Amino acid sequence: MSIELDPEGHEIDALAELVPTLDGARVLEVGCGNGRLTRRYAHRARSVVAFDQDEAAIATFRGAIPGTLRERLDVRVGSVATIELPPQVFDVVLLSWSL
Amino acid sequence: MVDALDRTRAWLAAEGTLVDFHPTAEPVHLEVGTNNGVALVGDLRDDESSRGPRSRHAQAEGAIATVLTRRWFQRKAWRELSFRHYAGDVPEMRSYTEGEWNDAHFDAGTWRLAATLIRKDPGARLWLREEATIATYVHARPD
Repeated sequence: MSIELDPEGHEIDALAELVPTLDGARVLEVGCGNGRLTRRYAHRARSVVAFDQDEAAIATFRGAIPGTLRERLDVRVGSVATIELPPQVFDVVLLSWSL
Repeated sequence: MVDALDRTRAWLAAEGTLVDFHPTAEPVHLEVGTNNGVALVGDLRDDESSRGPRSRHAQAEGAIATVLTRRWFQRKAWRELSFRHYAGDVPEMRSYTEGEWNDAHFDAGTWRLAATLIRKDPGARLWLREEATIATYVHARPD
């Protein structure tokens, strides 16, 4: 078997409980890695910008984006210190294990 | 980390929500589940560097405390959660762990004990249990 991470869905359940405003939101995810968490909530968002400085992880993420999510996902390589993003446009900013 | 929170503050809409997931102070546990219950096999230990999960927890907590003190954000809600990473066998788990945590490790005795427990019960399951905190913040409002 391959690694199964949180098949019980506790992580995504906690996100849904604490962030009911995720539905239809413009989301920015900082430190998305290979998109493990992003793929589990992106269908609820209006749009998601997700970035990570790990190029290999982003390549894995891009290769695994389902067709149903491609239009709403913008996946980038970058760090929080250098990435250029417009101010005050994101309804939800998610620090995904990145602090 | 405080600088990162300053940047996220700029990106967040006026009525937006900042969400932070980070590990608690509890170490990641390696456990084996059998018909007789769950055995705690060992704990993930930080290496000498300051980048292991327990050190990261302390740094994240410090950064959050700083931005709350500076009144950049106010906390809206938080809770702890526990989740598992499952592997099929000890070598797979060991490889996964070494890839995920460059700055922490399980000691050799932990891996030996896990292998022994799995051998004794072919139906046993092997997992990591990770404890985390999720918290939400909004822009601080004037008193």
